[in-house]
Formats: sequence, structure tokens, C-alpha cells
Amino acid sequence: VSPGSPAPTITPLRPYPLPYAFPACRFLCGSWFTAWTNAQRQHTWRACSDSVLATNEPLSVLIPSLRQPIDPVIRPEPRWQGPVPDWQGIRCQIGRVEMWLPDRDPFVLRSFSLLVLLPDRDPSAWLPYVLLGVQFLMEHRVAVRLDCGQATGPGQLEIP
Amino acid sequence: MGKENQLTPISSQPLTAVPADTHSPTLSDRERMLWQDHEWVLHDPDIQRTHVGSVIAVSNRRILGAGKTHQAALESALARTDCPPREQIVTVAVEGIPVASAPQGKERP
Repeated sequence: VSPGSPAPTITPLRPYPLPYAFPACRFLCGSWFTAWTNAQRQHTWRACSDSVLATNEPLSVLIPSLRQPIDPVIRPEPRWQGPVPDWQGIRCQIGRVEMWLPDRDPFVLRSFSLLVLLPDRDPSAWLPYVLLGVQFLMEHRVAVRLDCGQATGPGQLEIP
Repeated sequence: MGKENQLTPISSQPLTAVPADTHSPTLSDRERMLWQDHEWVLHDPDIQRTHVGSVIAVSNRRILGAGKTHQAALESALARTDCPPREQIVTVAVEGIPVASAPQGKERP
């Protein structure tokens, strides 16, 4: 951050412990999505749905069993040229949703445009979260900080 | 189930650019309640124990539905005659161990 520029957004990553024999966790991110209020699609609200840091995914992913209950406002991405990649062998569309992340305080949010793969169906096994892939981190120049010095240490996203 | 509480099928969700309402950076009172319900699910040992492996739909610290997916949990909640409007329901995945603390240690009444 250069002098005089706004302070970066600090979004906590929450270690969600997993019931394994050895310490392991997912890093969750409390997130909100601009979504339609009803089928008439005249108004929007913000739906709360956790995301998970998924650095193994090149692109972020919003599976149908999450997409349908959220019903996010999806905008086309005209800059995407060429075919949309499959995800886990499933045909996808691609679009942008508006995601809101907490900034230091869980009650203060900042919005981000999130490019997401939209698979036609759920895979046979899936995580019940929006997958935050590397493209989001690169587009918004996100610094990911994890502290695994403890069994399940905290982490955060720093977004300029 | 009222029309307002029906889910829109995926197949009828075109990728269209439509102007949306504007939203404040600060959570509204209703959104704060959603967040507090969300935190309750993640931190409550009883919920984590009894609903492990499922997604639950919650409103005002009341579990309205459960299922294997967010969609199934929400549909279960919306099928109830006493279900509040969709915008008052949050669905949260339960993986079995409560989260230790709230982010930044800030839990507000």
C-alpha cells in the first residue's frame, strides 16, 4: 500500500476444524452475495453464504445446489473468449456475481466482482461452500496470510 | 408455500445484466440477524454435534430445516407454514466441530 492510499480490506479467514485424526481445517470466509429477492427479479438483497479458500481451483466455482438457494445476480463476462472449461468433467457457464466480504468488522462489507464457473450440475462429491479460486486472488491482488503455527491458526485476506 | 418463498429453477436463470439495487457497506439490522444466526450455528457445540454432515436453515436462532445441501435445507424450511420470508433465513453447513472464536473477537448483541 503506497502512502496516502486507502487502507487495504482485511477479511478474516476462519479455520473450520475437521474431525480428522490429525489437525486439519478449511479456511472459511464469511461472504455475502447480491441476490434476487424473488422470481420476479425486480429487487435484490444480500444473501449470506460462506466461501472457502480454494487455491487448488484456478477459477472460483458456484455449484447449482448453492446457486439455486442464493439466486445471485449473474452478469455475463464478455471478455471471456473461447470455450468455458469444464469443472470436474461437468459443463459450465461462466459469469460474474457481486460478492461482499467483511472488512475488519463483520458488519462492514466491501463488494467485489467475482468471476465464477457455473456448473450445470453438482459433482458427486462437493464442498457446501462457494470456492474462491486463484483467479479471484489475482484479479483483486489479494495477499493471503495463514498462520498455522498453532493447530488451526487464523488467516486473513488483505485486499488493496 | 407462498409464491415469494419458491426457489427459482436453475434453468430459468439467464446470464443477463440487470440493474440491481444499491446496498450499503454496513449491514442492515436484518442482515446482522442473519450473521448472528450464522455465527450461532458455527459456534454452538450442540448444533455441530447433532447436525454434523448436513446443512441447516436457520432464522432467529430457530432451526427451520435441514438437508444434505443448502438447497435441500432451504426447501425444507420453506415448506413450513410458519416459515419467515426467504430474506430472514440463512443456510449454514455443519462439519462437526465448533469454530473457536468469531473473527476479530467481535460478537455484538
